[in-house]
Amino acid sequence: MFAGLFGKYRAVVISVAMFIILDAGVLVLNFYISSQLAEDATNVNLAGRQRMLSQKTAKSLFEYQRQLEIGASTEAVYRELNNAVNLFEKTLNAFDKGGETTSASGQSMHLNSADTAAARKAIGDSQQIWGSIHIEFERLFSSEPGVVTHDQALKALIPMVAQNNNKLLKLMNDLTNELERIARDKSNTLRMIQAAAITLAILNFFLILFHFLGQLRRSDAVAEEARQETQEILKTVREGLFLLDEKMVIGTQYSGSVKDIFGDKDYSGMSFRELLKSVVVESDMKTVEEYIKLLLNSQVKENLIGSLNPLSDLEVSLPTASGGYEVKHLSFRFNRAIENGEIRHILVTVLDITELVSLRQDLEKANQNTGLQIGALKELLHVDRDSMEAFLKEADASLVAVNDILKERVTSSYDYLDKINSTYRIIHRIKGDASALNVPNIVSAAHDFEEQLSRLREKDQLQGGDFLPLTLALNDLFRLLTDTRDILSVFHRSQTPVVQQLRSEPSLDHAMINRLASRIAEDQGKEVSVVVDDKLFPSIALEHRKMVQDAVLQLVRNAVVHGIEIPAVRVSGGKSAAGAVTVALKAEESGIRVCVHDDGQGIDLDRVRERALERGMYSAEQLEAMQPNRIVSLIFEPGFSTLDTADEHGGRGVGMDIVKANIQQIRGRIRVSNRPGRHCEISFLLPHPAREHSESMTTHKEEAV
Amino acid sequence: MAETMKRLMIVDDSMIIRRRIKREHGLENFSVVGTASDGEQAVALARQTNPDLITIDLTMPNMDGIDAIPLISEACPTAKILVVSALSDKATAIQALSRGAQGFLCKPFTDEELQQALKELAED
Amino acid sequence: MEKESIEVFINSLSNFYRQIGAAEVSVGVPYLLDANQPVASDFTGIIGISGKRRGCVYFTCPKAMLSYLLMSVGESEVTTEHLCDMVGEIANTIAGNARKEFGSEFMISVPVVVQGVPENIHLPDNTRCVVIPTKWKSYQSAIVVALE
Repeated sequence: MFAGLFGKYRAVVISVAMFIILDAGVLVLNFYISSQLAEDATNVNLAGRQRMLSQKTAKSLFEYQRQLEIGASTEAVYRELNNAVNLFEKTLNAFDKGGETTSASGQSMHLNSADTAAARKAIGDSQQIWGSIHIEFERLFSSEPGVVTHDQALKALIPMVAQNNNKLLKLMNDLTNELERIARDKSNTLRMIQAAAITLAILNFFLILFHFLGQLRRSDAVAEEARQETQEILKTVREGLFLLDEKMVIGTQYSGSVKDIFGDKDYSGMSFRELLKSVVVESDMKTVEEYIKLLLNSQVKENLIGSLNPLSDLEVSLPTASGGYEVKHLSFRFNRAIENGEIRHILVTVLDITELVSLRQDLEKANQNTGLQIGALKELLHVDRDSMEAFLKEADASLVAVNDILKERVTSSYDYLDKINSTYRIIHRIKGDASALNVPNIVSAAHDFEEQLSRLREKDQLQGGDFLPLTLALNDLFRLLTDTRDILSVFHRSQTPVVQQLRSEPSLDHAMINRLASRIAEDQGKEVSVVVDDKLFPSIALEHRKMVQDAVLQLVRNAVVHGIEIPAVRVSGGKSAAGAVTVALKAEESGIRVCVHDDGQGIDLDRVRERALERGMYSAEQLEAMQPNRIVSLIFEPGFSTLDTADEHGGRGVGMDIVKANIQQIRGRIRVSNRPGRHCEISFLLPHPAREHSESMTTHKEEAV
Repeated sequence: MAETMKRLMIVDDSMIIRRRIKREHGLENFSVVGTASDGEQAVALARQTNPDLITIDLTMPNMDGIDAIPLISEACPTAKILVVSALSDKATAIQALSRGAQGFLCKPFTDEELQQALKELAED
Repeated sequence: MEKESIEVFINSLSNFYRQIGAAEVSVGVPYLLDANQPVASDFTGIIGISGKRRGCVYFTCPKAMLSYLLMSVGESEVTTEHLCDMVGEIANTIAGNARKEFGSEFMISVPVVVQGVPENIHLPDNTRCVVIPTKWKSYQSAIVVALE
């Protein structure tokens, strides 16, 4: 770790060490310089003293001689002379060779020999002059006054000293000056070294300073960048984000969306309670605070209380910039912000889910309304009210019947098929009626229902659950009828009935027949013209008219779908491009015959056989044994269709099945006259009510089907 | 890992729920030390068995969960308590938790949710 | 009402039987409720649904079936309380699965258990309810889904 630290801060450590070393160097140098300066100053002082001593020697010598002459006491002056001479001698020797001398304060001290050329010369010259003088002084001091040697020495000294006194003074002056110069030079040099060291230290200091400043600036820049990034995030994030401390006070940083959601205010330092004051009632606020306290309690498991969040969907009215109020849906999320294993803050995320909620509501509404479209509405306007109402009533009753069929208890798997077949008949009828009335959305709903039935019929091993889609489709059909009825009632309430078509109309509905035929023809790329001769319609019993109308519609549909060929085929067969369908009512002895004739391809017996085999209605042997008449009659059996693809116009055969059942119900009989490639006529006889009984006794050549 | 057996106590007035938690807690090294059908029984049973983990319903006869929780956590301070209740009243549930429970499981729950919650609670 | 939603309820019931290790339940042909007059057997567990969809789902079955179920989970004591518990638990399982499947958009209540013909099942009036007859052993029961 230490090595790591050293490695990371290597530059800093080296710089600081350098700084300390340089500082210590300067300090040592200072001590050295000041000791040197003190030494030099002593030298200079001592040299100065020599100058003074040379003069004092001379003065004392002359004074001594005068005292001797006048016979006064010489004791004091003699001692003075002695001291001066000895001190001068001692100090000069010390300057010359290095050695002990006595300082100004009288203490013994060591002196280094002076070593510059000028100093040496001054000292050497002084030694020469002083040497002979000093010898005479030695003689003088070694004897008492009055002794010959003493007087001789004195006699010799007076002229000697007088002569050399000034020389010696000058030499000592030179020495002093020289020593002063040396001291000056030395201190200058030392000062320069000191200055250099200080400069280095300062340089080093700046180095460190810049290094640190640089580093500081860099880390500041990183911090600033991080801060800006945080700001950027807080500014752009769509959620309202802020932290709550343990006192539930909002932190200093929060995302810009907080202002978008709650209004332009400063929220830092505001309590959470204050923020929600206007949108959450007091009792709920307490719950919210309790919940946040749970989150702050580390004993409680965060993951196990998420479902208790009381603010997961909050409907609020918030003031808008324009001064009004706006209803918003807010979703708050609370998360623990954990630092060093402690829950420090609660991170609050606020989402404006208003759009989401309204989208969801719209979607729900749209889902509910799928049954009715504008197009369907437009079509409804053209339908006459009474037929429509009659249709709706009948259809409703039919659907109830379907539900009853579904409800019937199942005892064997055959019952499932039975349910399907019975339902088929009913739904197909509704589809036919809706198609004739031109109510496309009911037609397509019924068609979808038939598709479901077909799928079920093909399924092996039917089970109750398989019927669920059917049940739901039935529910949808019910609702569609209700919706249609509602729309109609709204529409008709504001309208007086224009044409009151009664159920007991005196003719077939030509318009409906034509519309049905031309629409099917159009869908299948065929051309067709329908001629209706229904002069005899009024003679049909009232209660049978609806059935006749339905049957004619079904037979016309059958003629166009199965009989009429596409124009190209017709033309190549020598026919006109447009097929002709003729509906005619003919009076016969036993009743009224209703014929639907087409000049199309007729019924292809081989295809009928194939189909019956495919559908598993009969075995190949059974079919082989059947007469052509019997084959033709197969088209009236349940579940038969000769069209390969099912579309809403035909191809399921159940329509013919209904026609047959209805006709049989009133004891009518069906006759088929077929010429393959040329034409086909399907007709049925409506017996006269009065002669019903005898009719059944009469023998006809009609198909007994 | 040499873990000691952890002990689970179940408190609910519905026999079916008790049986279900007993059967489906899905935790290894767990044994059910007892079941109680009301708050009073629960407090007594907790004193007696000192369980590690407790699941408790809020709406119960005699003493409801919200009153039983503080007594239970007083009797067994180390026990972790999971409130298992319907979300009809969030405020009550939050209050129950603030009285000493550690987690909440919403009724009705699936087996996976139950197991997840108990595992989470058993972790330290 | 979507097929998938209703299948969730049917599957939940199958799950319940599987959970207690009982034989599979067989599902009859679903039909619509006439004039929304509730059908009910001896015991009925009702769960209310609110949120994205509103309405209720209930499971109704005869007492004999519940007694049989109680015995098969090892409860020898057949009291009314236990019978209610059992039908409540079935409704609970259905509700739990539904909550898992539909997410938090469905708010699902705790089951209310009713003995006899319920008087206050509120069925929505703008749609017909779907009755899914179910059969377990020889007992006829039904799930009724009434969602707007």
